[in-house]
Amino acid sequence: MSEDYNYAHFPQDHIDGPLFAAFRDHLRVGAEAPDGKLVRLDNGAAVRLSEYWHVRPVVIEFGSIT
Amino acid sequence: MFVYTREAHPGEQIPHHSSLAQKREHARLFQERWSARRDILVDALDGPVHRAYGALPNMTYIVNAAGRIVYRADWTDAHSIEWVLDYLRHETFEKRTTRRVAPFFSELLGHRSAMDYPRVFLEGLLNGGGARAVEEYIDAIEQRRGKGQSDPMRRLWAELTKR
Repeated sequence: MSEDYNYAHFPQDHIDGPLFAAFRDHLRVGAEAPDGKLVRLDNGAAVRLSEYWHVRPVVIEFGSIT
Repeated sequence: MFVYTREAHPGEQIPHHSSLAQKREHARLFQERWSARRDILVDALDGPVHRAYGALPNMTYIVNAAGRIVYRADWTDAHSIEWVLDYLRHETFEKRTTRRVAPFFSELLGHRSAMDYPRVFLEGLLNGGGARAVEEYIDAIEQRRGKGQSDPMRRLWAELTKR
């Protein structure tokens, strides 16, 4: 599982591929945002995403250095 | 807030993750390179949060205080994020003053700037994963979109490597 997700070589079907097409009907506006556990980079503390939107709207950007 | 995911374009400089410690180290590099002041949250090694949201390399969501998605984009676009945040401030004001609001649904097909593309993009790949990341990207473009698209990139890449 982890090897599939963390691919070592850029998968060719990531260009104009199924992930972009699937995004269109996945989690549309109005849907409940999925919660999940992550780790804060600054202090290593475990946090839930929902702690961030509890008080006010939150912008969640996804990405990596590459 | 920023959720650190798998490496979109791994290469010899910055490879794919094989441990959570490595993923955190890459997140730290990211923070330093971009002087990021936002909270950076690192997803688990096999990316459960990233996958739950669609697993695209650079998507953005805005979630309101009730936990509902009010905006989403398959590519991060600063302009629309800004106006949605501005809109949400206006909406909060409306709710306070009129007390009665009715929801409505809206979508947007945006176009991001492609002016500097592909030079800036290839340079980004080179500074990220490294030369291998660039070559694998151009190969993927050739496979999926044909030589008409990949050949200009190969010429550009040859120019970049000459310097």
